[in-house]
Amino acid sequence: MTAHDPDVTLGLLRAVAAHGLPGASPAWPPEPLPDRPWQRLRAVATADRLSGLLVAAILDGALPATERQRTEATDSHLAAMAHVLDLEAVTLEVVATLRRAGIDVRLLKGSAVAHLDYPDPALRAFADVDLLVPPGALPDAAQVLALAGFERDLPPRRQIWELRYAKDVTLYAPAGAVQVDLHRCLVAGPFGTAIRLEDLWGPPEHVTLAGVPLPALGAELRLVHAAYTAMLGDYEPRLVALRDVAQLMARPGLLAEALRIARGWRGDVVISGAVGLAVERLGICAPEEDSGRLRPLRPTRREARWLGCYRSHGGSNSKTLLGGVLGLESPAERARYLAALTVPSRRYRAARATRNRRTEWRQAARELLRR
Amino acid sequence: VSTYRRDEAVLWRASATAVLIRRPQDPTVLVLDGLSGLVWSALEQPRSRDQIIEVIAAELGQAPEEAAALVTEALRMLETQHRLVAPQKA
Repeated sequence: MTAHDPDVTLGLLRAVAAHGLPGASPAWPPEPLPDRPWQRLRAVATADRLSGLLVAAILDGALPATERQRTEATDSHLAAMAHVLDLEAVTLEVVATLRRAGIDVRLLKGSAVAHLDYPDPALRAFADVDLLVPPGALPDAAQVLALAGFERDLPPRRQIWELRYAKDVTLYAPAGAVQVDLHRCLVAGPFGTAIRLEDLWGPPEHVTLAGVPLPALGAELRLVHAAYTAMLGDYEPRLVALRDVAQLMARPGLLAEALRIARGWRGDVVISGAVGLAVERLGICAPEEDSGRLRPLRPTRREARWLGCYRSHGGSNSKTLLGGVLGLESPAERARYLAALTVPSRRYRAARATRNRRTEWRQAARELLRR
Repeated sequence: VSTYRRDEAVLWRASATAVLIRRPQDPTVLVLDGLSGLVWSALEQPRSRDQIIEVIAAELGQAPEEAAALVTEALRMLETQHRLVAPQKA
C-alpha cells in the first residue's frame, strides 16, 4: 500500500472525521503527504464538509503538513465558511418570511448541530438550509416562499402528497444558488412514515444567528435525525453524518433517550446501526453506559425489509418512496399514500419529463468534478 | 471607562487565520485577519480598551505598551470603518 492508494486517502479521511473525538486514536502519517494524495484528501474532505476538521488536525499537529498544504487547507476552509455564512443569511430570511405567515420552524442538521453540538461551529461545514415545518404546513410554507421569490425545483407531486406524506420540498433562494429544503419529516420511506410527527415539536433548543434566536430540535432528536441521515440518507454513509452521531452520542444519557424515541417509531435498529457505523469507521467506542442498550445489527425480518428500501441497503429512490407505505398502519392511509405517490399531477409529470435528464447530467458532472 | 462589544447582528465564523463576517442583508463577506481578527476574538466578552490590549499582548507574547498602538488602531478601524464593535459606558 502506498500513499497514492485510494484506501490510504479514505483511511486519512476517516481520521480527519474522527479528529478530536474522545477515544479516537487514528494512525496519522509520519510526514506530510506527497502532492497527489494531499490534493485528493483536501478535495474530498472539502466536498464531504470536513474542511474544518482537516485544518484542526493540521494545526493540532496530528496531520503533518507542509506550509503550502497548511495554506491550501485554510483557504478551502475559508471558502466553505464564507458559503456557510451565505446559508445562514438565507436561513434568517426564510425563517422571517415564514414567521410573518404564522408558520413555526425548527432548524435542522448543519447549522443546528454546528452551533449546538460542536465545540466550535467552524468545525462543521454544510451545503444547504434545512428547516422543519409543522405537519400540514408544508404546502403553505412552500407557497409563502414561492411568493417571496424562492423557486421550487419541481411543482407539487400532488397537494395531498405535500400535505400528508412528503419528506420535504426543495426551493432555491432568489439570489444565488442556495438550496432550501423545507422538511415535513426527517426521512422518506418506511422509517419516515412511521415517525410520529408531533414528537418532533417538543421544547426546542435555540441557536442564535446574528442576534436572532432560532428554535432547533432538542438534542435527543438531533441525535435521532443524525443517525437516520447517516444510515438512510446516501448510498454510503457520509463521514460528516457519522461525526454528528459521534459528537452527539458522547453526551451523557442522550443515546438512551434517542433509542427510546426511535423505538416508538419502530426505528431503534437505525440508531443502533448508525452508532455501530460511527464506532467502526471513526475508530471510537460507544459510551460505556449505553453499550448494553445497543442491539447488535441483526435486524428482524420487518426491519430488514424496511432497511432494504433505502439506497444504503441496496434499494433505490423509487423503492424508498414506494416503501413508505410500509410505515403506515391503516389500510385506508396506505391506499391514500399509494394514490398520491403513483398518480402525480400533470404539471409534475411534465416538469419531471423535461428536467429529469438535465438534472441527472448536472448531478453526474458535479460528482465527476468533485471526485 | 468604556467597554467594547461586538455587533451581535452579524453572522461570523473564526478560522485559524481569519474571522469571516457578513451582515444578513449584505452579501459582502469581510475578512478580518491579523490584529483585527484578534480584537474580534478578544471581544468574546465585553472588554475595555486596556483589557483588549492586555489579552492580545499576552497572546502575542509582548508587553501591553508594545501592542497598544496597533491594537488601538485595529479597534478604531473595527469601530469606525466597519461598525462591528461599539463602546458602551460601563
